[in-house]
Amino acid sequence: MLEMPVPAVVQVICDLRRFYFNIDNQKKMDELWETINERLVGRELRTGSELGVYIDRGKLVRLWVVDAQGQTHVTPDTIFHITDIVRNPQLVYRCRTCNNYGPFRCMDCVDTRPRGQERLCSTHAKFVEGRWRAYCDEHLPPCRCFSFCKDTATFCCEHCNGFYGEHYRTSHPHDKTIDYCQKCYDRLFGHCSVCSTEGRSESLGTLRCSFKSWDMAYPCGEALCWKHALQWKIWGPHQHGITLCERHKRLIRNSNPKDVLAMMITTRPPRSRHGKSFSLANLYRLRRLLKRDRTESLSFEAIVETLHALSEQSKAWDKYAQQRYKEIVNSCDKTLQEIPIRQNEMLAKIREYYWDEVSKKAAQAIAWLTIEDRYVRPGQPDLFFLAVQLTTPSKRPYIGIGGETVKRIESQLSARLDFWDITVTPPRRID
Amino acid sequence: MPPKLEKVIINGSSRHRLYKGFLLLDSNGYLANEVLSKRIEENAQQRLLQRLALTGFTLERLSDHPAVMHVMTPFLPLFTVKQRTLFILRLVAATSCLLEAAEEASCQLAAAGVNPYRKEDEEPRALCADIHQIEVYEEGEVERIYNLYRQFLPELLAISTHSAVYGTSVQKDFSLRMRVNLASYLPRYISQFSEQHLEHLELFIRKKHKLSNLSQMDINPLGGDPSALRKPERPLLLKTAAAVELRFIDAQCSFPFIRAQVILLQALAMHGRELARVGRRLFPVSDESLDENKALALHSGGGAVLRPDSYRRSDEPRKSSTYERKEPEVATTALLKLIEDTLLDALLDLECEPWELYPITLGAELRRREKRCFANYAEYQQYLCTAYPEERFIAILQEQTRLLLSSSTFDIICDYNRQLHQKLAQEIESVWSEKLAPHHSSESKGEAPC
Repeated sequence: MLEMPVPAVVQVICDLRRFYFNIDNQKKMDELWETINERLVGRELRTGSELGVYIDRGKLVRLWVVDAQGQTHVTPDTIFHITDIVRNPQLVYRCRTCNNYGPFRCMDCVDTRPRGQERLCSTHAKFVEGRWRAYCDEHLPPCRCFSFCKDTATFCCEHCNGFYGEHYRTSHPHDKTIDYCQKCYDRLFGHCSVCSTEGRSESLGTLRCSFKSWDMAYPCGEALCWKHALQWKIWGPHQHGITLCERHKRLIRNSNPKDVLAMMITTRPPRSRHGKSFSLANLYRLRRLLKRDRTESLSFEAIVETLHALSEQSKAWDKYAQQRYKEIVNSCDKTLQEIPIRQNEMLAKIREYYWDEVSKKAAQAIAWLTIEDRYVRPGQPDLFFLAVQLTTPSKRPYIGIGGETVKRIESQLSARLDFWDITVTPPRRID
Repeated sequence: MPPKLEKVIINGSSRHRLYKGFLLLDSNGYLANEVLSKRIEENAQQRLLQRLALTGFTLERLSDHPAVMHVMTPFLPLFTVKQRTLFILRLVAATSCLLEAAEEASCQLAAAGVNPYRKEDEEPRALCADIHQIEVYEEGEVERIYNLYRQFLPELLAISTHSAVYGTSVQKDFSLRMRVNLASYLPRYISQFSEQHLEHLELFIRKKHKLSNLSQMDINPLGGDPSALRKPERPLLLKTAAAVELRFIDAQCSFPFIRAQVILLQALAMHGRELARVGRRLFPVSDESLDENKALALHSGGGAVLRPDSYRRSDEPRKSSTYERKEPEVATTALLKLIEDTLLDALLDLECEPWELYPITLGAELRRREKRCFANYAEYQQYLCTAYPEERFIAILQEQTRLLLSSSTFDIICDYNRQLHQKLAQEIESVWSEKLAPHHSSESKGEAPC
């Protein structure tokens, strides 16, 4: 018996990327096959080659021969297997501008436009370098530089993550793919101004002078290295302080206390948990800091008054600075109320002591006393510095032989006493 | 009578390329040096050129280490059983060229993630992988297929581990290669892929995830020739093609096991291709969850208990993966559920025979029934190392590796599982024959059987 030869099966991939109708099931494919199959007869078959058939008006069906199974031409009894129909994807998501495939979404349009109207194609989607978020033309973010320019953002700063326009872009000194805004670049890579003047350019000016007075829009900002920056350690010796340049270091003693207070409050305090950090919500400490190298005296009342005068200005500060300001004002108000009461108590005790220990006359010569300072000492009572005002030029009876008399009262009150002669103008400290 | 159209697959598979990894070792099991490996490479290359059936097969050294060699296949179609058999046979033939060249130089081949026989100075530097490339036709496919592989990375990684023994000592991880590989990064979810905006995507990934190069991710969306994506109607079946590249699979020693892996990877790609063509997209699985499951998979291999995505916000009761079912799942069972729930149609379109998948499904099914078995070669490697003294272990593993690399059908773990649970294995095989019978899919869809 003669065996019928098994017809060879030609494997093809059907390429409908230029056909435009969606052929997504067997029935549709069979119908399409009916229109092209006769035109395939006689065409050359070669593995890897293409059999193209135009249907009409530029609609092209292409069959890519995966395996011709040794056949050289398509015959009427050739059997085809389609292993895949390569076609354009169904457009569920269309670009609102050109109606092409729109995989991107402008997230700002999601809330404001009807569903689907936020979609954008790769041509119409706009990007900001460094972010994988698409924008439409309308919502492309503006440049956030300080010159209030009208440019749109083109890149995202590596350091502050802010969006900026091209004019504000600066590349990393050694890696051109990393971009910084000019402000961050200066902060990170700017050279110390003092070193530069001295002709040495290797020091980075990572510290900035924080000095700012009422007539300055921004702090001084002079770039300084660790060697040339003065750290005014207002939060204690083991914490960083307010950075000042050489010029402002000298100016600080003559500056308006209001400016200095504003600078102290708005500068970010240390966050480190290592080492003790002192709070500024302490009137005595504030006065001690403000009196640094200052020639004229500053009373507690004047400081509190200055603090209250900052209330209007404080509204423009960030929320953390405002919080610190409120805390300081509350604490200082409370301290200011306590001071006269405590002064009266101490005055009474001192007069009584000298009445008993020295003489009635000595007690009566004590006109008044003021609390000059107060130190908090862990595990011990607070130490007061008192200015005792006398109506006599000599302090000898108050000190006693070898200082015994004054030491006893100092130890009772936990205080250090200074004696002042108020019979002269201005009052004189008795040495 | 016009030519007849006998069979149509609407969303078919694409061509496949494999970089099959091998470790070149000297007779004592130490890694071959530069001179030796170059000599072997030249010899093997000549042997490859002499065999016409292996046209397009090449030898390459992709790794920095001279002892790591790859047999690189061209892009080949794997649409039918016959094509897959041919693919494997050619791969075996190419391997035998390398094997013969190695033996001529008194060397041997090992197909594992790291050298199981001898330790290097400290950590292993010769890391050996099987790199699979799956051809893609357009950008939408890249997005879906990449995200799909990403989503099922832990399941696929769990069965692909094969570096549990290093220098004759059992490691705490089933894939030491993945643990120590400095160029292995978690693939991040890509919501929108466009070749035109590739620079933006790379810059974003670099800034957000500190990853300078997308190709260092375990799944590389820019495999093959990514520039092919720029040409919208590029001819098909060219030698070069854009591809999604899978870099997380340890070098395997059994060709039937590789065949099963290839089928699974192609079936997943077909599913992704279907999603792309109907315009559907994939929900994101959180990086945290994926990272955790990846770590579990490389630590425990097939026995890893994968955790659901606790970071996911949506309450939709979809149930196609561990992440959506919201319950912990053993990796092998999760893989079986993936096949049963999602990939059956694609496997039918691939004309997948049940025996092609047994190297993976048999072990996984037995594990699901809580039977003692091997789910992958890392477990077998570990078993040998614990069961035999050092010298004997080396001798057995060397002998078995040689046998496995010379045969297109020899699969030890499948044979072992079948012998140990004969009756159950038969039962499982009949169940899978039923599942992969052509009428199964159409019935389940509510259509009349053909």
